Amino acid sequence: MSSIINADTSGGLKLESDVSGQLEIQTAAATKVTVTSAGNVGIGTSTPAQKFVVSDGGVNFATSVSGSVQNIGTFTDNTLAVIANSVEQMRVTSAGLLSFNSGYGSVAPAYGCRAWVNFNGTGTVAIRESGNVSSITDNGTGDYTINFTTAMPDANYSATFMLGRDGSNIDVFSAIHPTVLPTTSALRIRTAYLSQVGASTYVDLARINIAVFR
Amino acid sequence: MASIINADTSNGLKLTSDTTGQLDFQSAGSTKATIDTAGNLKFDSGYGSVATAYGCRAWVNLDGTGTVAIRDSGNVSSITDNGTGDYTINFAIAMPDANYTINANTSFDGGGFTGQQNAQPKADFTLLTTSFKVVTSNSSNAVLIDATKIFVVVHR
Repeated sequence: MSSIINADTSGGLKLESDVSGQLEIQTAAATKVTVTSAGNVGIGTSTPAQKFVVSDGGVNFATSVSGSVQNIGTFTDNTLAVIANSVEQMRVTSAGLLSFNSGYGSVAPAYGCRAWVNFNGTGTVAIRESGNVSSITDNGTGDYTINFTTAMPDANYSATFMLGRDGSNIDVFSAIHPTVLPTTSALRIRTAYLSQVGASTYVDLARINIAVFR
Repeated sequence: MASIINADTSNGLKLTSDTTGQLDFQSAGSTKATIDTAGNLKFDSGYGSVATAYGCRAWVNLDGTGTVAIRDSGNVSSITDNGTGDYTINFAIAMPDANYTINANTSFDGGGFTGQQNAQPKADFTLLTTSFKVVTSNSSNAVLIDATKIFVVVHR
């Protein structure tokens, strides 16, 4: 039972009351909104289990401003958890740390690949594909600068390198440039034959893959 | 089908629901990210389609010379210096198992390439959920050597 406010199609506005502590808003004697005695609000359900439940429908936070950014989340120092199938599948802390599963076994923090590039370092350097890499500077044999489109927040990022030399089984090697430190805007690397030493060991490589994490 | 959060270009933010257990994030009615019922996070970001992305679960940029110093890191609580060119990377939050993957790179700051270095998982050390070891060595003679710039990332 409930107290009822009904926009009746024949009798106009009708009010009914009981002592259940629950309130229903009706049109044509059909309940559209329920407020339980616990304060939960339901639309399309008379038994909302959370503070606000919409069942069998959608919610539209309309705006007349084209291209505006729509926000969904918390506005105090709280974590935003995304639930799917009644299970938390992703969360964003108030500090901006993103956690997700993707086969990990639970929702756990994950850090971003902030730049990556797959390029051919022989001849005229050519980027096959990339993310957040504006260009590659060819500084000479086996010497490349990876330039970021959007700068890193600091120069303390980490990176991985994977190399290949088409048509050869000779092992090759890449490392952070020995004297030029990483910067927020670029990472300079060198490539060389693995098992030899000396200045002549530098070599251009056809397949250079780099990923930057921060 | 999926429950949908859509930044619609005409109607603003729209939320729609169904009972599939999947959640889609849409822009202009087009799905840009998804969380499926298995908990896989999928997004595009230039990939060409919405596809599962796996997490970098830890990373560290460290100076392995002298007193080992972490320049910055994620999910790395500390580095143990086991001796010359031998480091233990300790996780802040343990991995769910020891089947994660590691990439490690380094450089030698001596100028030139005569001291080129490798960084790699330590061959005789099993990966643990709480830590793993990497070694840095001179690639020309395999002798362990401390390195000033060591990059390590962990995916799982």
